Amino acid sequence: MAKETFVWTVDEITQRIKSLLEEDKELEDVRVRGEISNFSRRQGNLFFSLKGKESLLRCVMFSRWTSELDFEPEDGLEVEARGSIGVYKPQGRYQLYVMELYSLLGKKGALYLALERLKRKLAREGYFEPSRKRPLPFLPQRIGIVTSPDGAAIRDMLTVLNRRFPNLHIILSPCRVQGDYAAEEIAQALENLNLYGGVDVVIVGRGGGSLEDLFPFNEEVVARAIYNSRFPVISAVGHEIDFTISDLVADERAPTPTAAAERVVPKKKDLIEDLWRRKNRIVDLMRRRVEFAKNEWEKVRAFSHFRKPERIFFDLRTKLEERRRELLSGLFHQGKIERERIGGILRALLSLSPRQKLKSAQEKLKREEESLKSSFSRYLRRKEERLEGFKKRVNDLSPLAVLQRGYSICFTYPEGEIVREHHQVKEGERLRVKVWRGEIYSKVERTQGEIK
Amino acid sequence: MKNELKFEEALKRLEEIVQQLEGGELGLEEALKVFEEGIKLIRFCEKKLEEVEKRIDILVKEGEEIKLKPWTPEEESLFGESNE
Repeated sequence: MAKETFVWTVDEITQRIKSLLEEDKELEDVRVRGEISNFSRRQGNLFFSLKGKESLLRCVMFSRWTSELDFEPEDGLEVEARGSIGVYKPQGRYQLYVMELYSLLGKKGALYLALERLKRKLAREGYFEPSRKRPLPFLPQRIGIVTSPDGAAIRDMLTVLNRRFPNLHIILSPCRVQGDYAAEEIAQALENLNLYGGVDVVIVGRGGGSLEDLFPFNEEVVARAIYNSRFPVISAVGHEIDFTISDLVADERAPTPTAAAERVVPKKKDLIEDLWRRKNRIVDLMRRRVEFAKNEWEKVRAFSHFRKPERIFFDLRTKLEERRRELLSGLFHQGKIERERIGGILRALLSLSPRQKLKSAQEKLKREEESLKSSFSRYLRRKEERLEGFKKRVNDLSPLAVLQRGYSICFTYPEGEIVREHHQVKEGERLRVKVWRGEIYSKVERTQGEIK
Repeated sequence: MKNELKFEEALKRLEEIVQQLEGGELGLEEALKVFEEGIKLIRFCEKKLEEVEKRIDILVKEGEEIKLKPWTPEEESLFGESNE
């Protein structure tokens, strides 16, 4: 039997394909699993493709079916779509008319995607900027904690805080930390602390749990409350590995509430020891400084005359006494030279002595000079007196002075020998006798030996 | 906001003082002055550590008012942690 060679129009062949597909019972109500791509939304209608390993299925979900959607479809999402296969003739395409659409990641996956979307949004608004993060205070003494009043987290934090620094003022701003409306409560609790005002730092957190449990700390309202907090916030959502949005917005992040408590306050004992060490260091340094100054002063004082300043005058006086005695018994020149020498010594010594001693030294010098002067003049006077005495004696002893006193000198005449002894002349010889005024010529009458 | 000296700043100044005294460039009188300042700062820090009284409060909002009330954590319940 020969087949008829039949030429189709486009409409005809398209209609044929449409009938084939749309009348197939199997394709009337199908569930298809795949990954969304090329997603777009126009006038409430969703247009996308489902990607398979090697194929692509075009899909459309009209707006009247989208009200039941419990997630936000987007590219990359694994989904399951329920609908019917049809053909859209104007574009020559078969597609899945979707009536139900489910996210295969379940709530978790949708949550995860929503989280990523929120992260991108907040990042754009600068919530995660490192430059806006504030340093935690070194020594906070009033600590605010936003967490549940029940449970281990608050108890652990209080234990750690108390152990490290016993006298703290801790203010718990209570809230739920999981479940519905927890996010709002967390945000409100943080705002209340800000309203109250009397804290230095805030810990926001909870203990470990599932991703769902932790989810309130991923919500926008919490992020905003942390962003707007006027006190530094450390986020402590008990999840060792992952970072929640509150971790990213906060000024610092701790992996657990206990770690946050350790981070927030220093150990009081360490601070006390440190202060003690510093005090010792300062005292020690000061002591050494004083020792140094003392040593320098000792060096100066060690110069012998400064060991005992009085010694200067002691020595000087001794010297002066010696010199004075020498003067009295010695010669004039020597005295003068010595005086000058002493003056020089004094001047040299005085130039070394401390200023307040200088004046008394000068006074002393003056006094000694005066006494020297007066002993000199006494000496001179004595010398003069002696001189006078000499002169007088010399005068007295001179021949003329002797003659004036009544003595005479006998000469032999005419030989002119001086007669001293009686046997130099004989009876009858002539003598010339010189007296103070004039001469007497005489003859010897008689001589006589010494009368004993 | 208080304008008084903070603990941290005091520590920083103490470090400066130690360096000045170590440097040995200070005259004796200046060294004494700086030493006294150092001792004063240490006392200040020691006092600061004892300043705050130990207190645990819970924040309560009554209407528009914020109040603090003394608080202690409850003993762990017999049934384990409360499930919220």
